[in-house]
Amino acid sequence: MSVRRLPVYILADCSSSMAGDPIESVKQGIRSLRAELLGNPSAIETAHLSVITFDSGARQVTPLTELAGFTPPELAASGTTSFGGALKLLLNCMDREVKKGTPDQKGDWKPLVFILTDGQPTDQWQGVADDLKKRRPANIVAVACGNGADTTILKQVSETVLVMKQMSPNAFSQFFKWVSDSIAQESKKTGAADAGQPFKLPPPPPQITIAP
Amino acid sequence: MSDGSPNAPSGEAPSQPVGEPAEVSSSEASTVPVEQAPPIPGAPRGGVNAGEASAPVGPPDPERQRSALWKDLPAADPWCPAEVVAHEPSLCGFDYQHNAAKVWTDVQGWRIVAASRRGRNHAHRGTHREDSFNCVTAGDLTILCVADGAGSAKLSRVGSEVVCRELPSRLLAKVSNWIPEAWSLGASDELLTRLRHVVKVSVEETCAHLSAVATQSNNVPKDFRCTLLLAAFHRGVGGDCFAATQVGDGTICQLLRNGEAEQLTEPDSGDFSGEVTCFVPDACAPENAAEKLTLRRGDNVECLLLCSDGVDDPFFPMRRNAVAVFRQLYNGVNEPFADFESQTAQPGPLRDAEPQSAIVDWLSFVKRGENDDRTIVLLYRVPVNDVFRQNGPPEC
Repeated sequence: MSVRRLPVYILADCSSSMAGDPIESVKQGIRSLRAELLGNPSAIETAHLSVITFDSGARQVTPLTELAGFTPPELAASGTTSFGGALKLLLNCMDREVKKGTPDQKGDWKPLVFILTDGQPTDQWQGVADDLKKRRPANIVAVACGNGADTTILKQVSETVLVMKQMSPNAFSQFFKWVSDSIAQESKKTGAADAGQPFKLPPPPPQITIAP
Repeated sequence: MSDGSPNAPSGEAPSQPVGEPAEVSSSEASTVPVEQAPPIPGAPRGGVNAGEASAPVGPPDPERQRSALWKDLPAADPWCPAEVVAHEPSLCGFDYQHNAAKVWTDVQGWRIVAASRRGRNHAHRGTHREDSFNCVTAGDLTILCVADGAGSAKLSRVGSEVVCRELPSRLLAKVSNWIPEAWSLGASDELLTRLRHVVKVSVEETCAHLSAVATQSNNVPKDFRCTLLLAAFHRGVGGDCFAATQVGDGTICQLLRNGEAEQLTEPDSGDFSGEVTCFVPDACAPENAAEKLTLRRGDNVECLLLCSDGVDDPFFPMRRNAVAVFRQLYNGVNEPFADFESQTAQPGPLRDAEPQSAIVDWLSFVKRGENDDRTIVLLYRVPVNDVFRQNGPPEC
């Protein structure tokens, strides 16, 4: 018997357009997320965090790690937007790190994925987006930051697309508080849930809207 | 036929043709004569912690800090909204308790014990237990039921209670007039076909009843969704037989005379934890319950266990761990199961003078990430077979 985890993947756009306040806000947001969740016993017991960054390439800067041992990574902004590479890496990481149910082992809880991006992809992304939609390996939330992100593209990888028009420190702070609430809500899930129904999120904060 | 609900409305005294309930609350004294359990030599009082040998030293233990974060809050909302009670009068006066347990007196060499405990996640949020259980008996027939409210359904706690009241009684009414020879067919195809039909009809009627309550109270049927574990036991001249089925997750296992265990039905499961595709009162439930029904001869069966997912998941796979679970319930707890953080040290709960509260205590085991409501119903042969009278190593 092993512990069932709630895997949480954060995909952060670290392209050059995120330089300055935005990347600093993401770093601070991840630190606050960890601190917030450490006050929640069900999140401590189940939530495991991973951070994947993408700029001219994609990297898993933090492998899936239990909350108590999670160290917020240092992030820097530069380069282009390898969105497709990030999605491909996400799939590889989930294949490797997330346990599926078998007759002898309970699977992990369905992973949560949060994607933050402020720009257009600069690589091939359509094929891997199709793969994501077909496999539905996680509950994915995509957030279009600022005016440059294309919600049409994000809707190809997620049924839940949010828009954060202002990339202010306060907006990022609210967003990560909402991420924390979403993880806390998922970590409190007990027992059976309808496998065919979309997952329910807390209402987004005032500065973030649901893409029409 | 009897209601036999563990929390029957106050002021009503449901008849119990066979197996008078010894207790309806874990806080009341049992009247069931039980074989007393001896104390466990050297067992600590209170909890048994995995790997704990002495008082902690050094910096604060993060695990202890985590344990301290858990709250135990009373439920903030009423158990059942008035508009629902108005259309389901059987719930009028229902005395909800966070923990519930019941012992039925020996039924022709068998004993039935059930216990249900609110999970830590519900206690932390100040919400109700969503598991329910029931047992009804008539003559040589016993029907056991466990239902677990779906976490996403706002009135699932009510749905599980209504299902546990309605379904066993409806099923019992349909089979109680069968001639004994019908059951003495043993585990035959003809009996299986007949049982599948009556189970399907009984689940259909229960779904329709629940859906009507939902509609009349301005809710929708999905608000009352729950899983179902259903088992029937018949003692007959042609031999004992067990039938079992389920909708959703949880497990039904039987323990055999040779010390082995078998899982009787297949739970609904997906790639990830908690994924269920069919609940009661969904349209799929009657056919699902009928298709999954299995029938076994019971001559070499020593125990039947019905476990909601709150018990099944920590011990998964239960088919491999059911014997160890029963041995611990009978012989006592002196060390926790592997991977568990702690268990209450106690003599065998099934041999306790108050087995109801002893099993509720047993259900308080702590395993990381396993904080759901926990319900276990046991139908077991008395006296207990020697093969279960000693603890093996508590491995899982």
